[in-house]
Amino acid sequence: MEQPFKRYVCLVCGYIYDEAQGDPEHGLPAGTRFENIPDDWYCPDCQVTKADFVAMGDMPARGDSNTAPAPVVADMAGSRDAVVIVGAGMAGWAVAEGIRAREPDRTIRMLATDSGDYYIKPQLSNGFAKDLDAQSMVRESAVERATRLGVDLLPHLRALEIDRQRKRLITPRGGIPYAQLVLATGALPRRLRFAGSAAPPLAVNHLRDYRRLRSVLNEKPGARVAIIGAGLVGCELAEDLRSGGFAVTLIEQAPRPLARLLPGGLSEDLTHALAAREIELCLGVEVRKITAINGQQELELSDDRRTCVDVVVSALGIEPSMGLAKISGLRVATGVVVDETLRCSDPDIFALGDCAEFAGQVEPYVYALRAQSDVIADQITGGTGIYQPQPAVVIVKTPSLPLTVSPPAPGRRGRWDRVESDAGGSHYEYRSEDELLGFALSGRLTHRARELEARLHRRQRAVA
Amino acid sequence: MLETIDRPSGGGPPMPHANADAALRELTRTELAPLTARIDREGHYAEEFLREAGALGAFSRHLPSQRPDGQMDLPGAIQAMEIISAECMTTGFSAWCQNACAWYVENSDSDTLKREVLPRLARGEALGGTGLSNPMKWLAGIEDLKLVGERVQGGYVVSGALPWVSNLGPDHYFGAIFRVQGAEERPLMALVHCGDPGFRLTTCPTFTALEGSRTYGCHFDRVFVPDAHVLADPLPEYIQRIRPGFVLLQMGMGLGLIDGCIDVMRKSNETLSHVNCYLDDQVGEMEELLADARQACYHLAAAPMDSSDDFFSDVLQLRLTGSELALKASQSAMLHAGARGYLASAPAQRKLRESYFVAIVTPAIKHLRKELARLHSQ
Repeated sequence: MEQPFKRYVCLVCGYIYDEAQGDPEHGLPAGTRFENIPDDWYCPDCQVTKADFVAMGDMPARGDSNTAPAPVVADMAGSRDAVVIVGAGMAGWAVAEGIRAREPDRTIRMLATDSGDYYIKPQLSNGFAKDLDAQSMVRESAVERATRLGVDLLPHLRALEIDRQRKRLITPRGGIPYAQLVLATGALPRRLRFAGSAAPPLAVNHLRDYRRLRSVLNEKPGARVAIIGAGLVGCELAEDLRSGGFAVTLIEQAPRPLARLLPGGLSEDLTHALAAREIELCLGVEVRKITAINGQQELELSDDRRTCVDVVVSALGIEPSMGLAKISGLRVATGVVVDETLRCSDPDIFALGDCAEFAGQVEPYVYALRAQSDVIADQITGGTGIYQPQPAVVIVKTPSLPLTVSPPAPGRRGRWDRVESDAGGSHYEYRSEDELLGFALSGRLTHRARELEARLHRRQRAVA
Repeated sequence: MLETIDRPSGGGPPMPHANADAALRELTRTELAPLTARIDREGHYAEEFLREAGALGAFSRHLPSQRPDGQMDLPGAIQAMEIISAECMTTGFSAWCQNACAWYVENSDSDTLKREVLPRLARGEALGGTGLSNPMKWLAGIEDLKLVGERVQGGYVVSGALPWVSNLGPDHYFGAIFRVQGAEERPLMALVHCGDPGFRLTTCPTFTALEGSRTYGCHFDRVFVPDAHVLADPLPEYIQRIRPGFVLLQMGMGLGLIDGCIDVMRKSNETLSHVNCYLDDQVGEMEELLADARQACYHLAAAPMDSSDDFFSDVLQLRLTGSELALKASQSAMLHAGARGYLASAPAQRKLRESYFVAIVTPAIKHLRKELARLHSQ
C-alpha cells in the first residue's frame, strides 16, 4: 500500500516541500519522497539543506492557534465633539456617569492604562480581612460598565501629550480628538530609593499592585511582612495583613502612627490597639538599607536594629500624577491647578480627584469625587455648578480601633481638645476658640460623626 | 514634504539638527531620488548615498558616545530615516539596519567593538545590518533560535542559518543571537563580520519590494566569534534595554513612507482634486494622523532607555499604529493617483509594496498583536 504524500517545512524560512509536487525546477520530479532527496539539494528559498526540514506534523507545538487574542485595535478617529476622560479609576468613571445622566447621546471616550475594570480603591487595603482576591475586588467589568454607560472605552492606552492647539490627545495608538478633556489621572505612590541590594518594595495603589501582592503572599502563608509608613494605607494594610495571618512589622519615621491626621491621644490609642493585635511597631525610625539575603530581605533601621522579613511593602503616601498636564503646558503646583469650575489653565480641560489641586489643596479622598464629578458633568453639559469643598471626613479602616476623622482645613490654626474618652472610644474636637474646625472619633463614639459633620457644614455655610 | 519635521511638539524652537536635516534632504533630492526607480526595479543598492548620509551624521544621532555633546537624539535619528524613507523606503530600511547595528554596539559591553567598529558605523564608513528578526520572534514565542554556538578557547563557534538579513555585503557587520549549547546553555549576542571564515552569504529569491536592501541568507559553518565581539552576556537584561530603541527606530520607515504617500496624494490633487474629493481619506486627514503619530513617536523616543514592560507596550502600540497607518496611506496614495499610479514606474504602487513591508517586517502586525495581548493580560 502506497504511503500518502507528506509535506516538510524548512525551519529556517518556512518553505514547504510537498512530496506530491516535488521541486522540478531543482531536479526533484513530482512524487519525490523526502528521504530520496539527495543531500546536495538546497531549500530553494534560503539554501539550507534538507537537514533543516521537519515533517509538518512534527513541528513543535506553539499553543492553540484558535486562542482568541485580546483586542488591541481601537478606532481612534471618533467624533470631534467627544468628551475624552483620561483615567478609568473611580474619578474617571464618576465623571462618565455624571455626563451620561445629563446627556444620553454625548460621545464619551475613556482611556484606561489597565483593563478599566471598576473597583473601589480604598478596599485595596482591606482585602485580606474580607478574603477578596484581585478578581473579586472588581465590582463591574470594564466592558459591562462601558456598555451600560455608553462609554467608548480604550483600555491599556496611555496618554502621552495633549496637543492643545489641535485639540487632540496624543497616544501610542494615534491622536484622539476632543471637545473637552477630563484629567482623572489619579496619584502615584510616593517612593523612596533605599540603599541595599533588594528589589524596590511593593506598593499597593492599584488593582494590579494588589494582584501582585496577593500572588507574592499566597506563595508564603504566614510570611513576615514589613510595611514602611504608618499613614492611612500603612495602618490599614498592617491590620489587614495581620488578619490574613501574616507577621507584620510597621515602620514609621514619626514617633506615632497617623501622626499628621490624629490628635496625640488617639494616635497613642492606635499604637496600643495595633500592638495588641501583635503588630510590631518600629516608631521614630527610618529604613536605612534593604538587603536581599537568601530570598529574604533584611531591613537596617536608623536605630541600628535589623529585621529580616519575606516581603517589604512601601506605604509612603501618594503624589498627584500630573506628568501629562505638565508636559502639555497646563498649570501645575502640588497637583493640576483647577478653578471652582474644576477647569485647568486651559478652559477645555478639567481635572478632578487625586491629581487635582483646588484652592491650594489636593483632596486625595474618595468622598470628594461625587461633588467634583457632578461639577464637571454639569459644566460640560452647559450647567453652571461650581465646586465647594466639603469638610473632609476620613474613615480609617483599622478594626482594632475604628476611627473617623475630619482634619482641620490647612492653614486653620487651633488645638485638639478631648471631649470624652473611656475604654470604649474617644471624642476629640479641633477648635479655634469656640469655633469647631475638625473632629476625631474612635471606637463606639464614631457614630457621632454625622452630627459633628452637620455642625461643621453649618459653620461653613455661615462663613460663606 | 516634511515641513513640520523640524519642530518638536508644542511648536517650540527648531531642533538642533535642523541644518543637518536640510543637508540630508538636499542629498536625498540630488543623489537618491534619481536612483529610486532603479533601486526598486533592478535591486540597485544605494551604497554611495548611504556612505554620504553617514558622513553627514545621519546615522550617529542616537549614539551619545559618537556625538560631541554626548547626548542621545533618538527622535533626530528617526527623522533622518523619515527623510530618506519618504523618497525611497528601501534605502530607509538600509538606514534602519545601519542604525540598529550601531545601536547594538553602543549599548554593548564590548570596548573593542566600541573602539574599533562603532565610530566607522556611525560615520557610514562601515555598513551593517541586524539579524534580530529570528530572536525577536523567539522572544515572543513564535520561533526557535536558528543559530547555535559552542564554547571554544577565546570565544564561540557558531553554526546555522538565518533566512534573510539586510544591508549586508562581504565587508559588512551584523548583530546575531545564538544559543550556546553545553553546560552553560544560554543565548548570546555578538557582532559578526560577513568576511569571517565559515560565513557565507546566499542569494535570496526575488522579493516584491525592498530588493535594493542587499538582503541575503546567512549561513554559519563553524564561524568563530571571539569573546571581544560578544555584545551581551547575559542577554535578557541587554535585550530589555535595547528593544524600545530598536523598535522606535523602525518608525522612521513608517512615518517617512506615510509622508511620501501624502506627497503623492497632494501631487495627484493638482490635476484630480475634482474627483479625488470623493475619496475617504483626504490629504488633511492623513496629515493630522501623521502629525499625531510623529508626536507620539518623538515623545517616546525622547526617553527610550526605559526597560519596563509598560513602556515597551507603548512602543509596540505605536509601532502597530505606524503599520496600520502605512497601509492606509499607501492605499490612499494609490486611489488618489488612479491609473497613473498603476504604471510600473509610479511611486504610488511602489509605496503600496513598501507599506506592506512596514506591516510584515519584524515585528509584524500579527506579532505585535500577540505580544500586546500578552503584555496586557499581565
